Amino acid sequence: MNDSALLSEGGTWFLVLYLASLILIGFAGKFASKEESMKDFYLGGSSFGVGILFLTMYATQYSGNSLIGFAGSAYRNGWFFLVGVTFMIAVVGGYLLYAPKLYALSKKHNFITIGDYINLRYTHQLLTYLIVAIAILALSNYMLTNLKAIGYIMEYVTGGGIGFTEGIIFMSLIMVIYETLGGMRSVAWTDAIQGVLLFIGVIIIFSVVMIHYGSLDENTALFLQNRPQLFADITLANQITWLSVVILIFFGISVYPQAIQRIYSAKNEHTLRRSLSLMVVMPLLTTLPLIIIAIIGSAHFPDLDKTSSEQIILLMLSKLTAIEGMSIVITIFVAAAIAAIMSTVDSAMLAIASLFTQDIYHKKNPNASQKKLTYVGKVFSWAIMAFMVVLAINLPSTIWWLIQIKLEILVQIAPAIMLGVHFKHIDAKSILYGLLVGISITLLFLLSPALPSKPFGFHAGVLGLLCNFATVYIHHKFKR
Amino acid sequence: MLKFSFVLLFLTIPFLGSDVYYGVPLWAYASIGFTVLYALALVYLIEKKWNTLKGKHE
Repeated sequence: MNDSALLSEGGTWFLVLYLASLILIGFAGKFASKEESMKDFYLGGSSFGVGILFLTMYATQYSGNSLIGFAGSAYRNGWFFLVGVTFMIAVVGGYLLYAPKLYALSKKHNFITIGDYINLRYTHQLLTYLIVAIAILALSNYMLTNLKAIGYIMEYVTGGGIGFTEGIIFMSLIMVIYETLGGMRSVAWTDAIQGVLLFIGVIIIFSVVMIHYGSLDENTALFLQNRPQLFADITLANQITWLSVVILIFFGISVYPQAIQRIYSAKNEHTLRRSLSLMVVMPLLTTLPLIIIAIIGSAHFPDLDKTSSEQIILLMLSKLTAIEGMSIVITIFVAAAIAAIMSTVDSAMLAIASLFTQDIYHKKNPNASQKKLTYVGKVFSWAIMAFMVVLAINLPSTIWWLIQIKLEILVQIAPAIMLGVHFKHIDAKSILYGLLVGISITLLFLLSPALPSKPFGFHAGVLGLLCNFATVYIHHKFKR
Repeated sequence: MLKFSFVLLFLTIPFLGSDVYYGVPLWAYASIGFTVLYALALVYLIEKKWNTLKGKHE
């Protein structure tokens, strides 16, 4: 064992066993499949009950960023990052604008991807391809950031025993193996384990921090001494940022293709409703504890830079290693972080493969059998994963910022889905023009050095979305 | 109720002062309070108004 490794020998074995169990679940998913069809492979035969559906939604929505990035943001922004709890709940509010109708439509028309709905609703090939392309682009970005994160974590917790590159390749192989074995079933079942690990990890770490670092009240003097800025007055700029973030995530994350795929995969309306109800509660039990932990950590370790602040929870736990049993808590945290990342990457990969196979390959090869389509999807999964691994390892940091804008682009597809299910008279051209205007304005502000990336304090994507909705309305109102 | 939920979501924006009570600024209590109310409104919508949200689909 490497001396600087964060994981004990027992912890390493736990991790190995956990990863091996994922492959076994892949085989279980394969044996449970009922037929070689797109619906069975990509939606698990639409057979998920409340337990699996809720856990796969939960694990997919809470990425590695939720565990590590949120803690870092809370460390740097203090109580202002309470917006994290609000926007994670608001995602469910976003679902409610379209999921009840879309679910009923998906059962009637056997949708597999978001492209299926767009194609049926608008019968406009360019619009369908554009939305599928945006979805694939956003999902690829999502995969890329999470693959990089898993490489760093593996390197960090093994003290360099497993390098960044080896970590990415090793974990990617595990994910692509269990995904191609059992498709959505394997992904959802592994998500279930990952979701439980994530939840238990957060609760245990929260308890440990409360016991050993004290409650918020007990830390008040330390806050005022080390982080008085935590209690600065709220400004108008703060309020605008809060509103902008909530809007961006309300409309952006709620239309993630992997989330829509899970809505389609519900066994029935009851399981979907119960799962969404549970999802409403989870930010209060996951995001809020993480924010409180990081804020307490900021009082005890006040001078961390941005990179170090992302590791605040690990830093807090590593200072407690003299306490008996702490190596188990650290192992749980590492396992939870890895689980959160894997559940996000595998879901994004599955969604990309289904979008490519169903909305691009199938359209070009309408006579392809279901068996052939499933096979093409599996081959594409390996290809896209290999491509992402190469990018994650080699992408220069100078263009890394480009991938951060994914949500601001993805959010532009929200009107096509949310207006589309409710207003049957809105046609494809109105949606297409709105989409083009939204994307153009977003990119204009993000890419032009002469313009602010946050006009009037709002994200460029939010301004783009506003113009997108306005264009749809104006075109719809004044068309002949 | 759906429209009311947007009002609650809007009210989560911080608007009170920063006086500290039990280690937490006052505005944070209001924001988290309205967030909880928003969550309750969503659960109510999901459990009681699903069919209204679904409407008549083609």
